Amino acid sequence: MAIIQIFSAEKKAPIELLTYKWAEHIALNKYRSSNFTAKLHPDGIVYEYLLVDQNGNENKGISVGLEKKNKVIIIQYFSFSETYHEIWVDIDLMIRKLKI
Amino acid sequence: MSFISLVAFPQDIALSSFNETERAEALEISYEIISILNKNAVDNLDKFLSGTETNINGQLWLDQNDFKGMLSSITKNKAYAKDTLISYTIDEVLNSDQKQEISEKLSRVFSNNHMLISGKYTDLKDSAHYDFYLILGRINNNWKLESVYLSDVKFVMKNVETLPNHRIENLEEFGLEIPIPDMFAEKQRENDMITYTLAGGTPRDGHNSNFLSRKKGPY
Repeated sequence: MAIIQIFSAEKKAPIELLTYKWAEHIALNKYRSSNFTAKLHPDGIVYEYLLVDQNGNENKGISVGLEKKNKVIIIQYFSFSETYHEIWVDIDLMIRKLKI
Repeated sequence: MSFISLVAFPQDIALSSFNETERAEALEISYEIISILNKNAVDNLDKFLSGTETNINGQLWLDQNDFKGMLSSITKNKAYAKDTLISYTIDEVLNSDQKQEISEKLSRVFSNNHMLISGKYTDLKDSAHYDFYLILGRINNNWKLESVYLSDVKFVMKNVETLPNHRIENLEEFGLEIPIPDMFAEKQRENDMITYTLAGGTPRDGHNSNFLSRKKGPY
């Protein structure tokens, strides 16, 4: 299973802060984090992280925050780590080639 | 950095946690690397390489021997100025005028786990001046060279107009055009959120699917 979620919100704080908040929200509850990477994006910021669930299974999360005028667009990817390893090239292309 | 230890939402955020000693070490190693490049003695770079692939200009990843061969050819006949080196964490780049430029050139290789070193060099053939970047990564308490960027070096990359295995989704409500990998199902709308799912059939799939669909945003 892998999921891509897209939504927008008011830009009430810097994009790196808002996106971090969302990524943190994903990590809270039932998961503990192990590893965290922040990368630049020409239109915002990208956070990548590994989340370990209660059964010790590793999951991959990516939160992309994009700035558009007074809005932010969040693109959230989540899957098992093994699924991500199979499709990471496609997900990497998706993030690099998006246009706003 | 512990990702979930930040219970309170700060008004500012520090993504990088390198201290001044680590920064000084990164600059010191950069001086050594510059000395090696000025002598075009790339075989002396071995101790600064991680043993895995090293990047050139944010685009090419090469193994150790290929990296040194490529670096030797693109760095010769150039003088790298030691007194121009400046170090940046990702936080400093985010707050600098260089954010857009660095994002476009080096977003695939620069992160909060790296130190970016900028500097200037002169092409000895025509005395033209250019910028360079070194990206150093902290591995087992040592800085390793992970990328070299030279602004006069241009790689002509194949311009892919249509991405294989992707379909372009034009989400007008967001002003967003995004290539979704074909293996994901058609989009679903729930309130203001659009979702694409790659189905799986195990109980663990169901757990993750339920977990994410229950999540409400923090803002």
